[in-house]
Amino acid sequence: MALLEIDDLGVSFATNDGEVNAVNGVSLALDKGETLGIVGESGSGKSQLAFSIMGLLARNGRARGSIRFAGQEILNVPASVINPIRANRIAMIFQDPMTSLNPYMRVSDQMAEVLTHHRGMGKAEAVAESARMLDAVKIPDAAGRIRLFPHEFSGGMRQRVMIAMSLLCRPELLIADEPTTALDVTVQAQIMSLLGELQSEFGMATILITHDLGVVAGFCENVIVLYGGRVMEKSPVDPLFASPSHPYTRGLLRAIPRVDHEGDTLDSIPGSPPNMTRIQEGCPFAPRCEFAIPECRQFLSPLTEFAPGRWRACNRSLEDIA
Amino acid sequence: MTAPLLSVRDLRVEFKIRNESDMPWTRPRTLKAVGGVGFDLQPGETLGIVGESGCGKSTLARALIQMVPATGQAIWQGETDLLSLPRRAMLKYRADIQMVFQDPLASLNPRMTVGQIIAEPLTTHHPDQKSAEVKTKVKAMMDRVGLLPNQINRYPHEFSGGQCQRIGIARALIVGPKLLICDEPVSALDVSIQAQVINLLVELKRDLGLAMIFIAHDLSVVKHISDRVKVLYLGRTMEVASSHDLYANPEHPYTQALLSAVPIPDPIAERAKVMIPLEGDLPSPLSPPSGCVFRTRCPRAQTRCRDIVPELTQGNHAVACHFPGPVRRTETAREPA
Repeated sequence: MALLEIDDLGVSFATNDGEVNAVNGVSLALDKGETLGIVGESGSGKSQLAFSIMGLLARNGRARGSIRFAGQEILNVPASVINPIRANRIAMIFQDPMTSLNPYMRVSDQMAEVLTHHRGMGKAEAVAESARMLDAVKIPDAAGRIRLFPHEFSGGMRQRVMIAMSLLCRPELLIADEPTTALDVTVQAQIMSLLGELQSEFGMATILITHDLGVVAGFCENVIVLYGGRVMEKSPVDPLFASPSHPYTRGLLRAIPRVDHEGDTLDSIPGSPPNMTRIQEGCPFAPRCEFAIPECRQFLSPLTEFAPGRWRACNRSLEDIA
Repeated sequence: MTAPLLSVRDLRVEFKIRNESDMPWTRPRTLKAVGGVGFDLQPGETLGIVGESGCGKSTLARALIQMVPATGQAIWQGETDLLSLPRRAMLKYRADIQMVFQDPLASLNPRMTVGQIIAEPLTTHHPDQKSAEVKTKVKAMMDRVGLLPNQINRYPHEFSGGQCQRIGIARALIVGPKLLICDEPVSALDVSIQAQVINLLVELKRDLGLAMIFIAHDLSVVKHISDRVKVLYLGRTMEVASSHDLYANPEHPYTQALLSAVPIPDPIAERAKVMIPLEGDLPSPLSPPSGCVFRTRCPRAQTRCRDIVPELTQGNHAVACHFPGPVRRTETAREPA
């Protein structure tokens, strides 16, 4: 049995501009210890996907479908069911460590809170355990600095505190939502290699949500490419980069300037990401796709496996887009 | 060779910092945002400036157009020192030097139409122009940067991020500048849109013979667009070289570490990449290290680096380091630490 199974997940929000469909029928499965990258641009629904796993959708959001964690349904369940799982068996780290830590609480207090709540530890024991975890994420002088407030840490250190806090209960699944987007490249490299080490040490499954294909290339085993709230392509990481099977993935890879290449013009994808307030018929990428045919505006082929472990959702065949 | 378009010497920007808890008689502390930076910019050349947050790259750009006070020299076309000009006299040169900002929506006035936004520099610098003439120019410029001229009466919020950045570029180019300063122009944009804007900038630079100062933290973007690249760390120049040289043969240990930290969107290349881990965080610019500012995180640091500030060498590939040279075996970590 897979650790996490998402089946036909849909997320929509009621707004003044009408119904916004952020996620439209996403299915995925994640095994124990697997690292999965979810790649997409803004508005692709990647964060809402993560929020629905954690039961953190905004109040005007509605989720359909099913999310099972270790066989148990966790989508649209009461707090009494999800609370023992959240932070305990599934943990999440967010993009901006400053806004996700409580500025009024010492790091020791907010970290210990997780353990006293979920593990029933005493305060002193919880603080000691928290300090050990801060040490594991390589914060120098962890025992002393645990008494500081979040603002006394640098951005990279704050993200380390977030990571330490998320790992306190040894979760089976860690969701990292753009964990390094707010950080400088050298700090990003530190954090990503730390995450890699911790992942092999603790053996938790990890979902890495990012817009940066470079980060995915270095960290993940499998990748899902989202566009307009739909899965465009799903593949192990190596073949995805070597031979992307979807016009969108291909366009994305060609649009990135690279430090290890010399190049003249970048192949940009024309147009802009879809407006999610309109109900999309057909393939969300069709208006920007160079291979689009009239049918693409009517319907989108379901995700199909075209090679072992590789899935794509495209009306055109691989030969058509070659 | 003709005089460079812009010749900057020993540019320094310092801010006085006071804490709320300071006593009224405490001396304010000095934050050296830019500590003696110099460069020459030829007409039509693109100079990329890279560095991590807090390295002074944006402050440097702002100092050039007197948005922050600076000392030193910035000689425009071999004649005028921009830094010592009175504010009114500076106005004349502002038409020649235009700026594109990072956040496309925040840098556009939400209560002005796109037409008014783009026309504003034109009416400021050439107040005698007829409004019909202005409108024709604005429409032509909108067309040039890939906006539909019939959207002239719309407001910024009706446009996407990429389109707003095009509006910002149109506003900068309408007065026919010789130098365009771009401060992180694409970092707020999605990858697919980022490529569109980069291509537009490259095209405009080629067609209009623009010189550009391109500031970004993304090393791959800077490499793509620049002729020469300057690496800043804590307000000092670490290394300057042609784009090709700097990325192929970096000499400064900081440049090497920075380059090795950039994730490559190719799993095979990414796994084969040799990492040079940097320990610790950026030191506070309020109390920078003595000698070489990078020494606290440098794998090659020795006592000499603590005592003597390394001078930037002369020549096309200049480096400010006591021990420059290619990456050494002992500095690398296959398994990133």
